[in-house]
Amino acid sequence: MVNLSKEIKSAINQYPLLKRFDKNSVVTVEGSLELINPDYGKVDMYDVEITFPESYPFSFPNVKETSNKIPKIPSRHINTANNTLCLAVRPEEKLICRNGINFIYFIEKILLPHFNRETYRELEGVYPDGEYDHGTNGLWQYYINQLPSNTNKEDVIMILELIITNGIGRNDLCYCGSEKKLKKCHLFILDKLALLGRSYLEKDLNELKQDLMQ
Amino acid sequence: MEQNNVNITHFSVGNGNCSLIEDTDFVMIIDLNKTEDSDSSYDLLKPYFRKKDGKDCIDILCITHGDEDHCLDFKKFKEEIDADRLIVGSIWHQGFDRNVNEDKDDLPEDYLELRKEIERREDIDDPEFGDIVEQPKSEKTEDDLFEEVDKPDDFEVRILSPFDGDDENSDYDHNDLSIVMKLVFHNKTVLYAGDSSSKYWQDKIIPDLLDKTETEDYANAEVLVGSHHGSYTFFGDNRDDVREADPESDNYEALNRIGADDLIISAKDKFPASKDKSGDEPPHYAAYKWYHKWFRENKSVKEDDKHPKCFQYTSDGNIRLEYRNDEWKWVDGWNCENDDNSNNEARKAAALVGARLGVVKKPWSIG
Repeated sequence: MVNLSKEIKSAINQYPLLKRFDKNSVVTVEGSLELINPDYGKVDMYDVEITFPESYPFSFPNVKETSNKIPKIPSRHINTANNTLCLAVRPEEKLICRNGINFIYFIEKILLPHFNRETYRELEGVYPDGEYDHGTNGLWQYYINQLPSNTNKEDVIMILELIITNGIGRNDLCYCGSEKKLKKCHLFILDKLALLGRSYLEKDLNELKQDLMQ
Repeated sequence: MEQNNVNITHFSVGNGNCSLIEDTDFVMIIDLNKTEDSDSSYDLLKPYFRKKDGKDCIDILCITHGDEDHCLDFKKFKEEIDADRLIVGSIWHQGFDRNVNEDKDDLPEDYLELRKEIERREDIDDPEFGDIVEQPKSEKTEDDLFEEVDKPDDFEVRILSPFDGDDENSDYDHNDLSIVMKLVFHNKTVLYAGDSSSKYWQDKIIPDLLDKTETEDYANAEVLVGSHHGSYTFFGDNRDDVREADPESDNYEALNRIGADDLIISAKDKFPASKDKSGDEPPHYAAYKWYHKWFRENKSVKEDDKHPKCFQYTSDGNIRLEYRNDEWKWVDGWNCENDDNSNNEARKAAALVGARLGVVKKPWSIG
């Protein structure tokens, strides 16, 4: 927790509209975040209330948008159970946080871009570069996106199982059917997904398998 | 840091008023009226509403008094509020009903809709943003006025008129008792005179200003939005008297108190610069004579300069002040449609750049 205090201090230094305001001894950062574009100036402004779950820094902080610019509905990527923002599909968040995330990095690379996306959504009616579907569907889309084109749901299951069981070697033929060795073909994708860790992949695999059976 | 959304706009609405105050997260509208190109005041103003909870939002709607040329098309606003598509944080109004002297049948429909909305709000016990109704009075503090409304930085409102207790039962009519207010916005001072009359200035406003000795500049404003579309009523009850009086007119004192650099006349036409051309409807030559005299004596306007640059007419088009890089600038020939589109496109492009700086490419909802 000593590190968290330091991180918050330097973040407030950089974003002076934020302040630390602990509630019932829960570490809380609140205030405004301005979206600034060097050519345009101030694009927009959002108010936030940020808390840190026990799993932090191995998961994102919890962010509530308190200026009420974003409707509190699932299709606007709000977890309606607690009104926090859904900032990334689960495996993506897991990958970003695998070595622990830093608060300033989180604001710069995750939160501010997310709010820019929301402002664009407000003006244009759609998100730039698309969005993932809700729930398990979004999870399918994420894995299918990572894998070579023409991957279907069964392939996703097979490949996740291969990673979890170490069932494919570098010199085996690639799973994509190219007849090249894996190390010369799609090894990099498996390496990336393997960073998620076996226990995490098993969790996603179970969810996907159950979904496929229904 | 460049600011992009701080603007004060007076729309070209003929003999009426419609002004818009914008900050990034704040929209205030003073009076409703439409331009020639727009179908209604609602259509004119809709592009400037901000968003809150996915709905359109105006933080404050101030109706200086209930005449049709100040609340035109409120019916449409009421429909949108009732359909839960529009949030009007707080409505400011004069605070009386115009029942006493006028037949209900003669009251404009838009005013009756406004009254309905005010009554709806007044019935709510503990109103929140969206249900607030406020009667600005000279005696009130900013805390009263901005209940539940997030006031932008560097924004201040002073109510000069009306005063507590003056309503339809008093000697004044609803024009006399227009809401008169001074805005201070990033150091720019603008005084909205509504349709206020000489009578009320003489009886109440000026004596009150004289009492405020500790704040000599209380009514000082760089920009005066002239009363009643340039009508003689700002200078006296009787038009002939105002026109012929020489050299003192009742409300010269008000102009001294305000000390404006610019005068905005929200009217269908420019001031008639000679007695012969003045019709029944404002703007009136009788008023022009006094305004011109005051600006000649105080602001180095030349006698032969019939329409000096500091007389700005909405009949020439929308009048706009923009705050950029810590400075206010007048924008000539500003056109709302162009501005809205190009500004939105640029803002969208800027948001897209910001979005793509992220490491997460697409949002997802666990639903």
